[in-house]
Amino acid sequence: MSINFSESRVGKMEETVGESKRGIPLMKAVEDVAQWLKSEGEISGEDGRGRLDEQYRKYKMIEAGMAQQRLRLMEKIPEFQNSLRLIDTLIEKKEKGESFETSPMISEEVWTKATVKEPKTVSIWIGANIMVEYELDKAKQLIIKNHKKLNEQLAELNHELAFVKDQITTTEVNIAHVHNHVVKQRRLASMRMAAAN
Amino acid sequence: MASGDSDEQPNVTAADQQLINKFARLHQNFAQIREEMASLMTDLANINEAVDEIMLLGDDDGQAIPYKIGQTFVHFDSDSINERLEKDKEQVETDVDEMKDKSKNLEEQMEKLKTNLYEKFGDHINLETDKE
Repeated sequence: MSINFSESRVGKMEETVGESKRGIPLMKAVEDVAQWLKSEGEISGEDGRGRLDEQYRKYKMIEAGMAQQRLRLMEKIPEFQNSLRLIDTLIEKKEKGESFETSPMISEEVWTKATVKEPKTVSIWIGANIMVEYELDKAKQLIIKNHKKLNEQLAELNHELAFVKDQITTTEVNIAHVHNHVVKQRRLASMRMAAAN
Repeated sequence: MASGDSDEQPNVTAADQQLINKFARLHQNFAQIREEMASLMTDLANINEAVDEIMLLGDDDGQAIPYKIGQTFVHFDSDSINERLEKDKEQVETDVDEMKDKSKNLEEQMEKLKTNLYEKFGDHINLETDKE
């Protein structure tokens, strides 16, 4: 049995991101700046930009936090791969009835030699300073199950990240629009001043 | 993103925004895939180097070659280690192919969006696709 590791590495490309399951608010595209400013409560262009800037910072913070989380999950993938490969090796040796030599790590940068006569069981670190000894097949099943869970977590996270990315892009475009609006208003005002003088 | 101070800027509708968002997302994924590809290429180079080195070993040295799995080395004779490396190589190559397909697909989608968006916004929009 083999598992596809590459799917989790880079998320699936979704057509539309839909909505956030974590309740991250949606940023609406501002199509008409003047109307948007009105709907926000008759605020000035500068205030509007300030509001968007603040939202932008919030989205960026959420994104950074989730990207960090994603990185931590991604780091676990090679660990699962290695565990699986090691268990597969043990199973292979067991089936062939072979003993084999190994150099396990006993401390950072220190390895020792050992001979495994008859691989039967393997201990799995299940967290909280606890290890449980499993038969090889059972151990493999557990690793695969946990890997599946990890993949699910990653998929969920990738979805949320894609959602946040969309909100960030929308906010960037909105900020540009409001900025342009402010510049235009100023230019109009100074032109009016010049005409009055 | 959209910028430019010119007065005659076409309106960005919510539908346009969706396209821009999608482009930005594709672009981000594209960058991730490229990183992933680079690391796979390193793996491939390492495997090839290992195969070459093993070929140079004499019979005595080829009896027990430590092969690193996670934090442990398991010792193999040169035949079974070659078999393993061959398998590793196949796996990496499949992964690389898969990544290539994905990145090609992303590129095509990005090109399509680019054509659409440039058509409407012309100089008012700048969509980056740094190829290499």
